[in-house]
Amino acid sequence: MRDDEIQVLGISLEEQGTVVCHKRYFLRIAIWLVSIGGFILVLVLCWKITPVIKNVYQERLLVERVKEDVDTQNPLLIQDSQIAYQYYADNINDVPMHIYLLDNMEASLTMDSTIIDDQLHTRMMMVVLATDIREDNKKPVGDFVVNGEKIARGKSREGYCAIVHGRISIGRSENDDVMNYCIQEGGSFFREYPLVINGEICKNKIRGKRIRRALVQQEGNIYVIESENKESIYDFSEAIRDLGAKDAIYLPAGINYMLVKTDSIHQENNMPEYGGNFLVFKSRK
Amino acid sequence: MSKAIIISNSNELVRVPAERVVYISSDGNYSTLVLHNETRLVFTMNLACFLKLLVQQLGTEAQMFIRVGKQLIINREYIYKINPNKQQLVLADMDLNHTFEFTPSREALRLLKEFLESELKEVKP
Repeated sequence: MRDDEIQVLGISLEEQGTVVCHKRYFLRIAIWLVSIGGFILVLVLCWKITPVIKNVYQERLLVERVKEDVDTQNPLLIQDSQIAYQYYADNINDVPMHIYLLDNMEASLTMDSTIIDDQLHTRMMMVVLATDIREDNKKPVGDFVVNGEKIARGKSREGYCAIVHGRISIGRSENDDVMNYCIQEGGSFFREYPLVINGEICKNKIRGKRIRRALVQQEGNIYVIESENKESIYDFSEAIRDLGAKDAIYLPAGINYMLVKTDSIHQENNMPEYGGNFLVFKSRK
Repeated sequence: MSKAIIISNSNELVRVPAERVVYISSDGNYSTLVLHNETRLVFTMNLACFLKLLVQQLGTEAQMFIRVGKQLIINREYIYKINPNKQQLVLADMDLNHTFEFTPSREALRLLKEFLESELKEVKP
């Protein structure tokens, strides 16, 4: 017997007040359950909504960053040279790498392989495969925008390369804001695995050792970096990070197509059998 | 004429008509039985034992008594006012010279009020 119960003497507990009490207990239990359920619901909503709000905020920051990157990317650094980029060979953490500094370049994205056949095009200095191609529909993997036109969609790869007015911005985004900004500006956009973002190495599912290639952004400069030997993705990412890269995304390498045209180097790998998607760098001169 | 309650121990025996008992309150192992004329009788038994004794001796007539919380058994015939919000229970009767006022828990008072109201509904045709 509790202080908040009553009991009529002489009749069974089930017949009288205790039943009323039990009803009240059920009501209390129900209220408690509803309260606990509501509390859990609020927690779940907070858990779900907070990242969404955070993502929206971060995505806006990314768009601002793309604008800033496009505005502040280093202008014509090699003013007197016919060659519109600089080439280095370096060895970071025992990872030998070919480094192409592309500051004097105008970047674009294309799915038209005939443009690459025109190698007499004097302005075209480097062409690399931008992203992998799906087996089923032969379209690029992930979101892919060419000159404001959306070609493919997908977010399996969080790294992105945004190209606006021929300038490149690299980052990581799970949403569409940066892509929508590119579409709005008539720019281009593709997705690849992020290797280094804000100076931090990103975890990736890519396994094995292969020739690796990356598009790198560092202090307003854009680089294409390729490993000389077969490397694991982590060793390659670490070497890029130790090189001082702020942001880097993966580019398909190995036997994948790459055209490099200079006075001293002229390297050209296999052209894809089916239509590819190409990141093209042309001299601004 | 209602049945009488007989409380007996090794020293004495007390016999009171059930209808004259206004309430029985307890303080641990001691219980105080209060009659309508304010006579107070203290017994060395707790309220649970008193409750069993009432049920044994009165049978169905024990229904005139209602236990309210852990420390009080009241005679429903003397209930004069129940106010759960003010936490007020008043026992009174025309034969009583004064009223007895208690402050059980609000929940118990609310249950008591509902119980008496439900009985009222059952009586109505």
